[in-house]
Amino acid sequence: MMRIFPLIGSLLLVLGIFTGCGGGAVSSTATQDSGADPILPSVPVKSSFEMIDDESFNALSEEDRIYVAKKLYSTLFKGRSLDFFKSQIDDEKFVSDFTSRLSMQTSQPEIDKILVDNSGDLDDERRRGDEIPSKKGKIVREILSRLYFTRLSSDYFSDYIAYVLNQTIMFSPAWEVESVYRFPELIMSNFNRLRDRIEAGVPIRHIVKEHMMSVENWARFRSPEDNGREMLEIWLYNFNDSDVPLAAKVLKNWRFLNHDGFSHSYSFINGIGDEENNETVALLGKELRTGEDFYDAVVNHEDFMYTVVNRVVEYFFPTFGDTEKKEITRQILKNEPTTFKELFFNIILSKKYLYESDRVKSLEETAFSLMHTIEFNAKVKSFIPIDGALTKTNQRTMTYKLGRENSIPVDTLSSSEYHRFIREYILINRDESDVYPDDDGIDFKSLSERYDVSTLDKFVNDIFLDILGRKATENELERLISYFNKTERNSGRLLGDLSQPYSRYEIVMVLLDYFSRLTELYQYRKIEGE
Amino acid sequence: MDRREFIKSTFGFATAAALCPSILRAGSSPLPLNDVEFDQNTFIGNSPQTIIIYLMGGMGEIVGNMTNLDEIVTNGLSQIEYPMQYFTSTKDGFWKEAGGDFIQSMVDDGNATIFRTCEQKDLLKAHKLNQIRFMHGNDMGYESGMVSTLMHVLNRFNAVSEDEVMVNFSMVDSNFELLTDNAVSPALPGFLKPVSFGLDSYNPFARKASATSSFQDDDLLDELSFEVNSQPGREPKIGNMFNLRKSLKEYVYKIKSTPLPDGIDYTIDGIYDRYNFGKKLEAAMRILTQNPQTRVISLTTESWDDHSNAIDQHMNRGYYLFRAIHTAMEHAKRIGKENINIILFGDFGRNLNINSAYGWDHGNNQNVMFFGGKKYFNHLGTVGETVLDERMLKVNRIYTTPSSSSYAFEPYAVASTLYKLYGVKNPEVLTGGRKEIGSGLQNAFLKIV
Repeated sequence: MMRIFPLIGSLLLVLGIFTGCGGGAVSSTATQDSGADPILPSVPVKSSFEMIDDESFNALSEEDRIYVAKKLYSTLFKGRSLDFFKSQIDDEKFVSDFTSRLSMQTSQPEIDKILVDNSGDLDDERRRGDEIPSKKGKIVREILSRLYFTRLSSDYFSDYIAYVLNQTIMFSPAWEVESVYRFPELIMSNFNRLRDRIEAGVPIRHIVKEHMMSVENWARFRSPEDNGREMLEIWLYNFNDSDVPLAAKVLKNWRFLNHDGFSHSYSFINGIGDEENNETVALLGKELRTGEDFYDAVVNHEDFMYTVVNRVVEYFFPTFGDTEKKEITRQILKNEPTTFKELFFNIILSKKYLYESDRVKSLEETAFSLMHTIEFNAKVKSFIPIDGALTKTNQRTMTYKLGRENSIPVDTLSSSEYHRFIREYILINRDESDVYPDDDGIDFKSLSERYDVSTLDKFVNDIFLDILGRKATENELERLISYFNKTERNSGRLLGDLSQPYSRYEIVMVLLDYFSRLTELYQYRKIEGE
Repeated sequence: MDRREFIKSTFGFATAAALCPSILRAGSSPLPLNDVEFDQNTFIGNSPQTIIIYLMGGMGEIVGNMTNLDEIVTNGLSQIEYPMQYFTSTKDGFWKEAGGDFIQSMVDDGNATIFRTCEQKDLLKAHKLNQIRFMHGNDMGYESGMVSTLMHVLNRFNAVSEDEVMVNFSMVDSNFELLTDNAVSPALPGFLKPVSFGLDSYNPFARKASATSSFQDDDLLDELSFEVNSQPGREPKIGNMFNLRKSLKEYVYKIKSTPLPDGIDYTIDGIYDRYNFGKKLEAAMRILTQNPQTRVISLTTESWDDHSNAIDQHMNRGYYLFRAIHTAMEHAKRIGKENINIILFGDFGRNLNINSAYGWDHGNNQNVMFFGGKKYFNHLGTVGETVLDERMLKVNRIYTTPSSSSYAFEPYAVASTLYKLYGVKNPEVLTGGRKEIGSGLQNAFLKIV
């Protein structure tokens, strides 16, 4: 049974988030996230949506605390070791420390040197060849590597939100659309503009208006009728076909042209020229004449914020029924979020999400959180197969015209590809960089030294907790330990002989392989709560 | 709850309710399976195998129907003038440059029927909304894709047994409304759940060896994981994949290693077309021809949503799609499989006005195409006549609509046709009253075996 958290507690918590004083200094154990500086207070928000705080988090069982902490990190594509989480939990300030990290700016100049697409603009000739997918791949890898290597911080939170929104119907750059395909640089400009605006605290309404009027949005929705229809549907849930010609009329001097199909340039006509509409039309309860009038009317419409919030709720709660999602939307709207950071804080720190969401994880959530957890030795090349796996699992990033499905595809082929990637490229991938300097993978020897070797039970349970966020079941313990105690390594020593370093890390190898076969690795689970 | 709240709670489609309240009934109404009458003899006699190709985004109706183009050109109705050098009509009015020759060839061979008057009665033209209702084959709130509905019917009447394998196949790029299964409790049993498959150079269901050579007991981990994965709260579709993985691995090896009949080649000089239509159709045909227990294969194409540069895009995409279908029909003919059919439909047709971005915006009327299946289809060539919808011309839209004397139907009738083909005597109980396509035509389309 969940306890009702007092309104004032939530309010203080959220105020703390935005003033950077939610939980004091960053934990000394948080070396990966250190070096952050507090930022000035941002827009405070009210809160009645029940959010987690230190008190409610500390009331959970130890195993649930570890799971919730891992879920929070995984949601943000991050992960940490069991020791880190235990230390945070012992300090009893996990939530406030976490939220303060997300409100602090960090300086990581090295990020710009990790993987940057410096291949320049594509000229006409290069666009005709195979360089378009190659260019797109470089852009995607730059964004993915930036997400992977940037520490939890205010900057990172902006990157993360922009990335998630770029997967949705709202902001997808829609690379699959023919008119975007030839200009993959629009993916990067779409992402950067959104990220920058989020980090600057620009209100949602302003961000969306600017987005609707951008070349990136027009490359995706290219004709006045197409753009008008989709803006009504996407931002207002307005499916009234008779409104579409009216929108098209005020947008008549807007369009995106790339009509020879091979040109390296495009024409974006954004409301300039002598074709401008001269008659007012009655639409969305207003008298409109120009395209900008239309976009203003959309973002100021009474259904606008409901639609935005509901679309983000759909992303995070795809397994919930419509009635419940509507109620969550209503609760969030009571808090009057005006920025995307406020909106995302409301969701990811809610008990509803942390305790009850059981959605299938995106590949980024599974892969990045595992890689961080096991301290995967990631290299520039590591992001090539990740991009490939996103395609094979039908989770292509920033590609679909209508955004990714909110429910991650789990048909047999997609989920088999998902499993294969997580298993082969991450969990059984040995780091042999001592022999091949450019190799990536896991240093199993180092990883195995994390765990309690006092007994085989403890050793196995530690690995389970570290990776899955739960202990092994009795059946798992019995059968696995029985196997370890009867199986000889090549040296003739038993796998279960923990005095032998090789035995320890081979057990880790076997268990990581086992975890790759468990549905729960790819899915969040519910917990009972306080 | 007020009406607005209700609408948002069900679909979130505020103004849609005013236009089509019937689609906004509470979702997940139970499918009326008890009302279905099923004829086992028809099912066995037809022994149909179907490839459903859903045209995401909506293909331009001009691909299969150029009969109104002259009027548009002569009267200068399009915002942008039609570049007629790219628009050659075949003798039955198919767009030659967009694969029309292949369609014409199949029509001439008595192996295709092109219904030109599939018109939705309301004006809702949102992609997702139409995908949901047309792939579900109803507007009654039954959240069940037409393929899932068919599987439930076959299961209820014991038309297929648990020994059958890979009954329901899919080759789709994401979650797919044809396969939604929320209207019957319990959901489909494992052997009728969709299985997806690809024709890549590697086997997607094979596994690399463990990281450690000391580990030799792969089965232990599989057995243990099957037990854990079957516990409540675990996503059953992922668990289903793990359960099926080994058999799928063997199946993929078998399917890929069997040679195609002489002269059947889905590639162009050894390379699949850029849209992978040939690759998908080859995989589908390999499955159907080697496994008679596979009843339905659901397949998508890339989007046809060409709001700009539509002519070039449609020509290329259409050419390769109908080339692949033509090859598949030749493949079936070569081995005497008259029980294999292909059904083609989508979100809507695209209207015929070339807009200021040189594209076609959403339309209303569309073609529904049937290929193959001579065993139970009495192919009629082209059916239905269209005229321009005068009401729409004033807003830069050139819609067609069935002529007053023409046969016409709504997209839901595609589902009825599928059900009828597989033995459902009264498919209209599953589709909100819509009967199968061809019902009422002077020349019967469906031969009930």
